[in-house]
Amino acid sequence: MSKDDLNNKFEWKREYSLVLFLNTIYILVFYFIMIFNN
Amino acid sequence: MAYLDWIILGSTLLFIVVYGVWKTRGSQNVDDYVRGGDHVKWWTIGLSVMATQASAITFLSTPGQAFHDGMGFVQFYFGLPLAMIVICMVFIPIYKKLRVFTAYEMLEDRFDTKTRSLTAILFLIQRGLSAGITIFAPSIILSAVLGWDLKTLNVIIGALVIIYTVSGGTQAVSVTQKQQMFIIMVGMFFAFFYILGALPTDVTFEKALKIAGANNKLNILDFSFDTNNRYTFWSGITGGFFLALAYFGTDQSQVQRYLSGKSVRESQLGLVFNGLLKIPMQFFILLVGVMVFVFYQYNASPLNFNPAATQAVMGSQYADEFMDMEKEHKKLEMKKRMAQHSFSAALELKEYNAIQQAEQNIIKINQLENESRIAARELISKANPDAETNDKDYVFIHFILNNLPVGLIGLLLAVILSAAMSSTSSELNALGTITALDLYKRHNKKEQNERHYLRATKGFTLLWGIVAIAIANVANLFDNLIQLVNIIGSIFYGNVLGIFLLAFFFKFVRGNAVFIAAIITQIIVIVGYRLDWMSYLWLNAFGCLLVILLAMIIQSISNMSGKQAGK
Repeated sequence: MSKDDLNNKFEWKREYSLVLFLNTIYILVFYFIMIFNN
Repeated sequence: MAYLDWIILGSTLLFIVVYGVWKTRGSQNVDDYVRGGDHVKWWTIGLSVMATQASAITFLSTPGQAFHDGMGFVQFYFGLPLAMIVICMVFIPIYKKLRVFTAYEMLEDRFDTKTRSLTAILFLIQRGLSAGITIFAPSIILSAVLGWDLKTLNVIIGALVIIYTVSGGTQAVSVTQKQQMFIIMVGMFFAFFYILGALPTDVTFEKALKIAGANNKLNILDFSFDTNNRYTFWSGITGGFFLALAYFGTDQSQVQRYLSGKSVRESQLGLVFNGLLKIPMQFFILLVGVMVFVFYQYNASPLNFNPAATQAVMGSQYADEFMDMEKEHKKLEMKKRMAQHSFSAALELKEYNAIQQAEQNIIKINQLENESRIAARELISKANPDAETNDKDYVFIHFILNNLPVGLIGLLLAVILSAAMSSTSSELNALGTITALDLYKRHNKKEQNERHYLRATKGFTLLWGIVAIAIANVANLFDNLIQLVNIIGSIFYGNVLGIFLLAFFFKFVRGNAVFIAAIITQIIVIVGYRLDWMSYLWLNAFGCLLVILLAMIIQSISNMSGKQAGK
């Protein structure tokens, strides 16, 4: 394989933002579940 | 077990095997067999990736983990979504561009044959052992609680998996994993709602959460930097990220799942699916465990959930002492039930002081109960030092067998065996592929046709299935084989991940430097483990960083000596 084959442009896609956003929401939900039940 | 349970269990497993064989009959070439003909859709990839990771022990052990230690374990998965994004952006486009059959094939293109062979062999050692344990771990638990013969159970699980994996390859693994994930999620939802329904009428879900919270079971997040706490937010984000990157990015049992995608986009969406659903799924399984804990606040539970451990102590000189402990345990349970009713009534009336008082009372009783469980474990160890005293893995199965209605027991056992089969099938599929393509085909000097390599891949898959059953059958001869497998994984994983990161991000490093660095790293990691330099979990990160550093140094020296020679 030439080095060119590895020269991919790392492309950010909308669904990656969705992964980050929803997982942040999950952690916030966990935080509230913890706070409201302790 | 009732007839209905047997019928549900048997027909579910039989359906999976027959469906897997029928749906994928007639694979004519290696591409179909290894990459599923490159036409698998994203949701199938996502379910397949999740089913591969979720083994039977996930559904047996995780609820027990929540029962004893609360829900903090979910933090272990916090790095996984980040790893999914990195794999989608870096690993998948390159694998797909090169149209590789295995992850290690890419390393030959980038470096050389010896680096490809080395990583393939490291994978076979590690994954071959863990395939045996994936079969053994649920078998030992089910045989202990149901009285089934351990070796027969190993052979049954292994044989069922071999039938459809050898027959249909990657496509059979993917289509059966869809059915298996469906059964798993349906079974877990039924169990969850059944527990809620089985709680006293005045205990709503909201109150059940309050009860769990009062007993420290809802300490989901820990932002401390205490290295003694295994599961914290920070260790999940960092350690979990590296582990997920190594596992999903370089382990063929996972790589093969998304290589079967119709396009780069389908493969990426499959991993995005995993990145979106993995944490909620683990949270839900832990929540089931927490609800089992709440259930046992109102219902009788054994002092130790492992029946083999209880039998060991009851057949010894410590039997009377253990029976006295059980009597005390029953008394505590009575007190706990009354305290829970007071807590529930106080919550109903919203009387702050009464709530606080009842909560303190419950915490005190549960502390006493914990102490009596620890004392019971110590007594079991005295009676039989080899007995498994940690009953975490037995909590959920005990609950299933003793509390669920007829029919649901069969379904939940189908969940556990489906999970065992789904992980094992991916492992065998990957082991067969790597042996056939990275070692046999690559080093076979004789020109052979497509059919020959298809037969060889099937043959090696069958062979690894037999090896896995054999390992499962001798696993109980080794006290800590499961830990041994984890240690072996940690010894090799970091090095392999480092080699892949060198391939992707360090373009100036070449094959010889990587190969020498990988050999030196492996020796240093093994020596480091033997001399106990660090906890084995950290060997992943250590191996990864070391191989990158050494390869860069060796390449730089080589470049300098090359320049000097050229002058």
